[in-house]
Amino acid sequence: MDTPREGPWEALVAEALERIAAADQPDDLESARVHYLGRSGLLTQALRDVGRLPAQQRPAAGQLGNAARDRVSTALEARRAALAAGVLERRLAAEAVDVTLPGRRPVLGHAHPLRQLRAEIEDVLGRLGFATVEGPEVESEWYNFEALNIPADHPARAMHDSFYLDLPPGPEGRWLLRTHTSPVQMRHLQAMRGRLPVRMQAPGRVYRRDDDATHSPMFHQIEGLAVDRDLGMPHLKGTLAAFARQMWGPAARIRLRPSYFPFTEPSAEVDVSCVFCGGGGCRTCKDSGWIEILGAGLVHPRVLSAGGYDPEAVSGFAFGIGLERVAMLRYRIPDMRLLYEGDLRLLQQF
Amino acid sequence: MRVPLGWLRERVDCPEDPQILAERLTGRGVAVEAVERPGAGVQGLVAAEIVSAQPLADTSRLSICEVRAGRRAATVVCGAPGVAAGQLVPWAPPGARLPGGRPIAVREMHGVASQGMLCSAAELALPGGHGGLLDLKGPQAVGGKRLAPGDDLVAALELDDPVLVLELTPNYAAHCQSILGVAREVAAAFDRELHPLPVPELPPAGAASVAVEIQVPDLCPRYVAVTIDGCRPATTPVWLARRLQACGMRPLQPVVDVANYVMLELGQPLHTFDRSRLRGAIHVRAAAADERILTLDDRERDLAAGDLVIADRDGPVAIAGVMGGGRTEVRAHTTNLLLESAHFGADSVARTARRLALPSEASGRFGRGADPEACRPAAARAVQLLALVTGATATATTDAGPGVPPRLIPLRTARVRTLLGPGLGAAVCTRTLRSLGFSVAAAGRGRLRATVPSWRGDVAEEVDLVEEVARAYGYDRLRSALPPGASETQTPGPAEGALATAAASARTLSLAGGFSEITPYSFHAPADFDRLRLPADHPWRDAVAIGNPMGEDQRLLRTTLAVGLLRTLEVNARQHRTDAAVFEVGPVYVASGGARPAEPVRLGVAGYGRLRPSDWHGPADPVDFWCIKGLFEALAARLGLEDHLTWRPAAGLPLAHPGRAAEAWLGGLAVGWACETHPEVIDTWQLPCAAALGELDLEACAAAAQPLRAVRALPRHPASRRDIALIAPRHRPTAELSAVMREAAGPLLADLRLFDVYEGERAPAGSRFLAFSFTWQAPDRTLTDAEVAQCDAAVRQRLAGLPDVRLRGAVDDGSHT
Ligand SMILES: [Zn+2]
Repeated sequence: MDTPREGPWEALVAEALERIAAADQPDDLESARVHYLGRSGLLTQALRDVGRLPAQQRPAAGQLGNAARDRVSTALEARRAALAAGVLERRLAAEAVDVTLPGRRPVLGHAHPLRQLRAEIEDVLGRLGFATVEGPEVESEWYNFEALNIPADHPARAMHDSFYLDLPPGPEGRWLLRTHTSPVQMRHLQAMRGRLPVRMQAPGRVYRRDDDATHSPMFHQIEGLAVDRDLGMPHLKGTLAAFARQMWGPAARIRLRPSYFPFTEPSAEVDVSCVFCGGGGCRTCKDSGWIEILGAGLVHPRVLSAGGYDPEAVSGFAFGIGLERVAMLRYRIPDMRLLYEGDLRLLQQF
Repeated sequence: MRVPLGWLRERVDCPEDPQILAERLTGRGVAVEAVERPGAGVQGLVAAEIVSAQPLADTSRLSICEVRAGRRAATVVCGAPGVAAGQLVPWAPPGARLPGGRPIAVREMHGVASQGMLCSAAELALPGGHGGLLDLKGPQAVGGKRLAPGDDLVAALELDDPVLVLELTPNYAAHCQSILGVAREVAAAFDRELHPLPVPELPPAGAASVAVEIQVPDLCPRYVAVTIDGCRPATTPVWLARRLQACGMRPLQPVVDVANYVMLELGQPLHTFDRSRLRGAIHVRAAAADERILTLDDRERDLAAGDLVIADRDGPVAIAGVMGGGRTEVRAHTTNLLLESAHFGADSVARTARRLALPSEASGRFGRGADPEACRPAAARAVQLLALVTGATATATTDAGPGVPPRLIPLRTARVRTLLGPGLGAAVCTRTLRSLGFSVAAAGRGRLRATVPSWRGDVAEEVDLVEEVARAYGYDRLRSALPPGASETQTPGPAEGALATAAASARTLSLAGGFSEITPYSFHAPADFDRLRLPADHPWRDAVAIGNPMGEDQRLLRTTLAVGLLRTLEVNARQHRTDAAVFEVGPVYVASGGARPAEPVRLGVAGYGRLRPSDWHGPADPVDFWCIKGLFEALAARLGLEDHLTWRPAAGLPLAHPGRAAEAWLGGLAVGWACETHPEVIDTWQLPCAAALGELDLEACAAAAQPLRAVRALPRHPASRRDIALIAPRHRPTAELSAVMREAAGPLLADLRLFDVYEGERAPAGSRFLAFSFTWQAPDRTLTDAEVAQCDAAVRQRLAGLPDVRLRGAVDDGSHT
């Protein structure tokens, strides 16, 4: 060994590289490392042997040996990285799921359509400045009828329309389940003690002796009332037009037809342009383009007086909307009784 | 009210298209609910004279008729009985159509080509008829005209006349319950004049006059009685019967039919007496308490004191405005009549009709307010028609009573502008009111005075005039503006009050907890309490009853939400649902000794099975006692009541599994309960398994609620955790042990949590393993190990002092050995 030779290094490197390339497990690779670069590995031995060469041969041989060792350890490193990547890849592949399986949903209940609708209307009317007020369901004849200008012989007071309770009559007459939310008007006017402006909404359950696909002994109304100086029909129209736009979109229009309610005069039935056909006519609106939604009118002077307001000094308007009717139209519910039965097959659709 | 269009057109010109008429009337408050066309499709029918009629060979009942209609002649085979030469009958020639649209063609019958058919009343959808051909001789065409062969029957008998069906509100019901009343509205709506109805004068009083004494002029301000002689037996003319039928009335007898016709035409109900059966003068008076009357329907009726009656010397002959008496009823051979055309007070008639349950066309009109000025014109019209139909003549008239003076109402134009809009001044008010028959005069600055027409008894005060102006002017023409200070984009204020907050939280948490919202009825059946196993004296049974329920299952106002919840579960179990979870936020009605019941709002929750069906992720949480209790605990925590709500085993809950029922308490107040159902309740309500349910008083919770006012400072020093495991008797409530340990722990205890309960077989009989986790912390420093050990020891020492509790070793490895 007079001169530095590449031969033995080349052979050793070639053999190491071949073995490294063949290693397909981290363990194989580790044993290859130990075999060549371990403390007593072949390359380590060979490099140690360089020290025993004659002095003038040592630098060249050392250079060759170091280069060989670098090549092998570079290859080891590269192979180690490759193997690690493969392991991760296999792990990830093994961890894959069928993403088309159903997810784990939170267990959530379903809000009742009438309550959703009530919240929606309360919000819209709230934006128009009507504050929510509630009143009792068991009412006296005075609040439910007399104060609202429904005298004793009015047909609406007949036994067959109202549920009267088996209770001794009080100073305000017999007790009954309120037939509309209008008594809340009266209670609120009294509570306001003449202050202005009055702007309230009264949502709640009401009761009438009726039971078929479009009537129920219990149903829900929202009543609106505004009292101030110089309020009139234009303000009623403006308020209801705004309400209709907020509820049914900017294209919704309203139409007022003269009607009769004892507690308002003039009174009106209020139609909203049909949301299904936009007014062109369809089955839901019976080809009229309009759907009757509300009753409304200017508060009758006798109602203002009963509430402690001077009808010569102030005026106001009131309107009432039946939630069931709106809900049935909106969701095309065929039978009102479905709303009270609690069949979850229906409720879970909301 | 039903309005045949042909009849209406006699009094006022109407638009050709009934829909346009309907829309305009509806827009004025006279709501047209439908436009019916009962005879739609009919065409080509003519009157034909039977020139000859021979039996058709080989048949027993067919005739072969030669008929003539104007210049047309034809052979028609006819199967009707009584066919004879000389008759004037309806003929549907080939090409004609019957009502309903059935086409008529040439038909070969027994070798004869029959040119169409001859028709009976029924085939023309007309009332009456006796099976034979319709007899067209006499004043059968509209207006009492006589028909000639060849005349077009569709027009002459109004066979295809549309009918407007009105849905009248109480205020317009009175004046629009007649053809004339609707014609007035049409005239005002289209700015037309009414066509006059020429009617002969009534005869003056005379020897034949029947005396009339009105004892109660406030209930009967006007009574017109006309004596009519010489009625001959007759049949009601076809056109008249058809108009009655189109209005929904059944033709009965010519005199009665004429009276009804006039009522429909002019709105004034009439009554006719058989004068030969009347004894002496007519008295209009209040009935005595013990009086009775046999009414037209052959029923003996008790009169009440104060009922208004028409009486003769022998007693009541009619209940005024409600029903006539049987004694003086007009029959087929009655020749002499007394015609009554009177004005009776609305309230009196309505009250009597209601008490006797005798609603009628007449009492309906009087009861809503008839026109006091219509008495004479209506009587005159009836006389005219009776002459036409029966050949009778009027002989004398008695016109009694003071009448009703016209009503004058002042109207302030400033008021109208305030209520309807700035554009509606004196000119608009005057014009609109005059179009409706009011006379209007100026009455000083800013004031008008309106005289109400006699037929508008519903208009009584200024606001009524304002309404008349509004509807005549047109609601659609009124301005539209938001009230001063309102805008569409205001932000709604939050719902006010603690109860609203508590109710909103209850809904939110229930929905988030997997319960769906229901809105059951507020009613109960008394039997529902039995179905809840409630003993007779259970407080829930103290319910307010409805005096007139719609059914036994709606007799009581609910005192608990449990029934509505269980009924809902029952409905869903019937659908074979394995899982259900529902809630309601709503009032119950608590009897308060005969006074108005209280209406506390409660949260009710119920369910069975699991919160949702099992899926491939595994089963969801069960709906059991813990589920209900946990929801109430969560709500209490939301309301700041976490440390205030306590639970005790419930005793008074018969619907509950006795070992799985608890009451919730806030201080000294029971505010709710939660349980699983008793096995008998499961059976009674046909549930597939035990249900869990509970009820919480939201008003009590709202009253006690402690809204968060300031947050606690976050701890700046680390906490230490120590666990304590023990063996305790199974019946020993953990809440008691927690309370003991809390007290022993002192102020450094930051949190105490029960994290394990083991009741399995490794636990000694009658005992269970409990494991608590203690978190120790000081706000101002990190606790040393020695300090924590001291705290831990204090708790253990206290526990060691309890005779029925034994401490166990560390359980940090989670095993129970
Ligand atoms: Zn439509």
